[in-house]
Amino acid sequence: MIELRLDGKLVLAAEGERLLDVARRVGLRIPTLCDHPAVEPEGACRLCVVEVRDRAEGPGRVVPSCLERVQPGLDVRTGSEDVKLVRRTVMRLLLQRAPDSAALRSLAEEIGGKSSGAVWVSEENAGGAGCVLCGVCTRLCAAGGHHAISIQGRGAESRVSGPGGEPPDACTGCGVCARACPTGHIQLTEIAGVRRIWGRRFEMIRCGGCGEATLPRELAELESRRLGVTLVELTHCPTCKRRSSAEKFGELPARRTREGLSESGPMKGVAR
Amino acid sequence: MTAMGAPVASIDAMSSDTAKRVDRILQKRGTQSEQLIHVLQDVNDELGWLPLESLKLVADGLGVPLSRVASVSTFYKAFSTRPRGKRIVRVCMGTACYVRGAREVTEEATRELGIQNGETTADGEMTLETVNCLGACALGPVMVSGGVVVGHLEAGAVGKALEELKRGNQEGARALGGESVEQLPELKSPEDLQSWRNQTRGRASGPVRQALVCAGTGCRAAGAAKVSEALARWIEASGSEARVGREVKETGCHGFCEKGPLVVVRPEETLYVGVKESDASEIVERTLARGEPISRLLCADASSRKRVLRWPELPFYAEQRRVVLRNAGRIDPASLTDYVASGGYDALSRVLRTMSPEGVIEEIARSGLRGRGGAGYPTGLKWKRCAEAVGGNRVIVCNGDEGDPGAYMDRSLIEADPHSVLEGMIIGAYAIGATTGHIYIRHEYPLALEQMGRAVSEARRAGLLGRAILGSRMDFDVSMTRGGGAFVCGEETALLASIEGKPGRPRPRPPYPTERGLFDLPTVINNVETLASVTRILEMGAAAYAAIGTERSKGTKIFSLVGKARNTGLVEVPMGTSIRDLVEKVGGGVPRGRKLKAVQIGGPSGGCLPESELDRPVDYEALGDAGAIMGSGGIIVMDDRTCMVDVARYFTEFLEKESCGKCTPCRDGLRELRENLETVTLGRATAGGLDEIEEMARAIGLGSLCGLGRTAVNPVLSSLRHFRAEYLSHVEDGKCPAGVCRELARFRVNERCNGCGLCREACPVNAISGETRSPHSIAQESCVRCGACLDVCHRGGIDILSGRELEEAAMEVAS
Repeated sequence: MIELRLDGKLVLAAEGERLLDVARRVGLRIPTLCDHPAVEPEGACRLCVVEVRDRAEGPGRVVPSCLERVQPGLDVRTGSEDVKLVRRTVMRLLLQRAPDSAALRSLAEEIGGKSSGAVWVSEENAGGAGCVLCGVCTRLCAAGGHHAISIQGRGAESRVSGPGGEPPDACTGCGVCARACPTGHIQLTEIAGVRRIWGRRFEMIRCGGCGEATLPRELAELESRRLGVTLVELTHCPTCKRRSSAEKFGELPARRTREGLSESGPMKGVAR
Repeated sequence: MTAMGAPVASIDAMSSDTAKRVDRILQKRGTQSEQLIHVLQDVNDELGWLPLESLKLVADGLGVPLSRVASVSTFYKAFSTRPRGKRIVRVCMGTACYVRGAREVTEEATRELGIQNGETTADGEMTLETVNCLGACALGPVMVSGGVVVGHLEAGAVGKALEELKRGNQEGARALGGESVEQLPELKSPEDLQSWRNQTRGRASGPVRQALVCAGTGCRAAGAAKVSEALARWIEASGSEARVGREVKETGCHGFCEKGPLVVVRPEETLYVGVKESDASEIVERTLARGEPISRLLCADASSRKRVLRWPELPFYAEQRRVVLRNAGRIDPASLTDYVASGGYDALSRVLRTMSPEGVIEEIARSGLRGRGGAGYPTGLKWKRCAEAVGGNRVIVCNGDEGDPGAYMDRSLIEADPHSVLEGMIIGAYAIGATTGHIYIRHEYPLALEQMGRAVSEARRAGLLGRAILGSRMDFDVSMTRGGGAFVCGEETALLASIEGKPGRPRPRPPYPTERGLFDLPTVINNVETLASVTRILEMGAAAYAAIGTERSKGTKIFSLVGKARNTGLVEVPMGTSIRDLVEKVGGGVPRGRKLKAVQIGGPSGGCLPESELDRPVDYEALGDAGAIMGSGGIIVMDDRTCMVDVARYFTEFLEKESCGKCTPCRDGLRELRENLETVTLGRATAGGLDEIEEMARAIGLGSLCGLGRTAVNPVLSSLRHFRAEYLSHVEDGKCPAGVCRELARFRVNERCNGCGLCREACPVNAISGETRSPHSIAQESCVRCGACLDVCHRGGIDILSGRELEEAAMEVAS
C-alpha cells in the first residue's frame, strides 16, 4: 500500500492506482470528459487536473489525474487556485464548442466555469450538440476493431468523421460511439427497423423471440463469423436470451418467485 | 482486403492510372504499416495531391485502416487533400521573414495572382501557400518554388519574382555535387581508416589554390551554383599550365548568409562576398592564379567600412569560436573522402578501439554537454538512463525536425557537414547499445535530406555503417524519415509517433522514451547539433570542451542571427557570450539607423527580451531567469519598427495552427488567446483585457499536455512583462508606436522631408504625392498603412501617429 496526502488527508492506495480513482474512491468529485473505462486514458480534455507536490513545500505541478499514478508521500490538491483556473478555462473553451450540451452545462455549473458567450461551432459540428474532440468515440471504435471514424485534420480544425468526411464503409452501426459521447453530439436514430448514424443506414435484425430490433445486420453478420455463433442466437434480445437459456437447461430446481416457490421445470412466464 | 492494385472492371481510365502509380510506389516501399507516411509522401509527390481513392489503395496495400490513413493524411501539412497547381509557390512566414515584411509580400502575391493563400490559379499553373519556415532566414523575406529560392523580397518585387518562378528557372535546384561517384574503400579496421586518411591527405595537398564556393541554401538562392560553374569553366579554359593545382569546391554553409554568394580562396583565406557569375574570370586570372586580391569583392566591416582581406578578421567571424562548425564551409559535404581527410571518423575509430560504452557515457557526462534542441537536458544522463533501461534492443534517433521559425542551425549543419552528425550518432549508438537508428529531417529542407541521404549511403558503402563496424563487434545501421510538415513533431513523443507512421500527436510522459520509445524500445532522441557536438567532444576531449562556456552551460552554441541585424547568418559562440555582443559585434547592430528594441530568443517557446536585458550571457539558466529560453538557437533581432503586441500575436497564431488538437487548453485556448491579442492590435481591447490575456496565458501554460502548449504562452507572458507600456499604448491611446498595427497606425510627413521621392516610389498604392525637392504628403483615404514609406525614408521624415493625434494635427493646421 502507498500512503499519500489528498486535500490534506492521509489516504491509502494500491500501487499503480490513478489519482482519479483514488479521489473518487474517497468520495471526491473530479470532473472528466475523455476518461472511459474501456480504453486507455489520454489526458486530452484536461478537466480532471489536480495539483501535486513531491514534497509538501516543493513547487506544485498541475497534472491530469486520469494519467498520474500514486507515489508515496505525494501531496495532492484537487481544488487549488491553479486547478480551478485551468478547469474554469477549459470549461469555458469546451462550452464554445458545445454550448447546448446539457451534460456540459451541468458540469460547468458544478465547477464554476462560465460560458463566455462566444461560440465556436465548425460546419462539421453543426446539427449536433457540439463535439468537444475528447476522442472517446474514436478510441472506442478502434478498440472494437472497426476503425470506422478517426480524428482528421489538426488543431482547432480537427474533426471526427469517416475518411474524407464521407460515410465510413467500415462502420457497422454498433452505436457504441453515440452511447459514449459525453455531449450527446453523435446522432443515432432508429426508425422503423432502420438505424442511421454517420450518414449511413443499417437494417436492424429483429429478435427471433419478441420481434424487437436488436443489432444492425452488418454488425451481426460480422460478429457471428468472428464468434462462431449463429445469427439467430446473436440477435436474440437479452430478455429472450435469458428465457431461452433457461429453457435449454430444462429441469431447474425450484426458484423463489413473488408468489412463493415455483414449480420445478421449464421456467415459464418469467417476468420480462 | 483486396489484392494490391487489383484491376476493377468498372473503374475509369484515370482511376486505373492512379492505381498503377500507387501500386508502383507500394512495390518500391514495401507493405509494412510503418511505411505509411513514406508511401503517402511518394503518392503526394507523384499525383500532386491525395485523392480519397489513393488513400483507399494505400490502406489496402499496407493493411492499415482507412480511417488511420485519413487521419495521417490530414494531419501533416505536406499532404494536400485538394488538387494543386503545376507549381507550388511558398511564401515563408517564419519569424525572421515576418519581421522583415513577409506579410506584405504574401498580400502582394495574392493581389498579383488573384487568388487567396491556399488557392490555385484558374489555369492550374500556380498554387500559393504560406509555409512556417524555410530555414533561409538570413535572406528574408523569402519565396520558393520547386527548389528555387528568391530572397530579400520587397512587396514591389513580388510580381517579377513570380514571373521568374513561372518561367521555371530550375537553376538553383541543381543537386549539390551531383551523384556520388566517389571511389570508397571498404574499411575493415581502424588501420584501414588511417591508411585511407594518409592516402587522401597526400592527395589533398595537391592543389596550390582552391576556390571554395559556399553552396548553402542562402548562397544558392543568390546564385552560387552559377558562380561555381563559371569558375570551373574559366579554370578549364585557362592555359594548361595555370590549370595545375587550381580547384573549385562547393562547400556547405559558411554562415555569412546575408552577403552571399561567398567565395573563399585558400590558402590565403580571402573572402569574396556578393560574387556574380561575371566575376569568375577575374577571380580565376588574378586570385586563383596569382593570389592577388580583388578589392571590390572584399567585404567591408560594417562599422569601420574598411575592406577586410581575410575572413577570420571580419568582426562577424572574429567573435566566433567555430568548434562544431569547424568543417562548415571548408569541406565538400558530399564527399566522405574530404571528411575523412579532415580527421573525420577518427573519434569513432578511437571509441571502438579503446573505450567501453560506459566510458563514452562518462566522457560525455564530464564534458557537461546539454541537449541543444532546447530543453538543455544533460546528454550523458539521457544516455545513461537509456543504457540502463530494461529491454533488449535500443534505438537512437536524430531529431532534425527543426521547426522553430527563424532557426536554421540544424539545416546548415547537415548541409555542410553531415558526417559529423552521423559520426556522433554512431558513437551514441555504441554508448547505449543501439543497433538501429533513425534520422528525422523536416520536408522543408530538401537539401539537408539529400546531403544526409548521401552521407548515410556513403558511410554504408565504406563499412562505417552495417555489420562489424571497423572490425569491431558493433552492428549499427540507420534509416531516414522525411517529416510531414508539423511543428509539433519536434516534440520527442510526437516525433516517435510520426516515425511509427501515425499522426504526430504527443503522448504524456512518463514513461520517457529512454524507457519506452520507438516501437516501445528504449530510445535516445538527440538533436542534430548535440550529435555533432558529441563527435567534437571525443575529438578534443571532455576537459577541453568543458573549459569553454560557463559554470552550468558548457561548450559552444550555434545561433541563427536573423531579423533586423546588419550581418545576419549562422554563428557559433562560446556559452556565456553576452547577447549584446552577439547582436552588436557579430551582427553589426541594427541597420538603417534604427534603434535596437528587443531580441526574441528560443522560437515560439521562447521570450522577448528588451534592450535593457541584453547584457545577459547566453546560458540556459540566465536566459530562463529573464523569461526566455535557450531553445534551439534562433535569435531574432527587432528594431523600433517591430510591434511587440504583433509579435506576440504572430507567435500565438503560429502555434495555434501547429497545435495538434489533442488537449483543450492548447487547441482552443491558443485560438482564444490569439483572438484576444487581435482585439489589442485592432484597438478594441480594454485595460481589463490585458489581465484577462495574462490569466488565460497562465491557464494554457499550466494545463496543456505537452511542451508545445506549456511554453506557447512564453512570447505573450514575456512581452507583457517587458513591454507592458506598448500594450497599454494600444489599449489606452489607440496608438501602435511601431506603426505596425494597421487599424491604429497613421503616417504623416513631417518637416524633415526634403522631397527625395523615395517614399513616393515605395508606396504600393500611390498614396504619396509631391514634387521632387518639395515636401510630400500622404493621402490618408488611400493609404493602406503598410509602412513601406517609413522603411525607405532616411531622414525620419515620417511620423507615426494615432488616429486621434492625426485629427488633432489636422485641426491645428486648419486653425
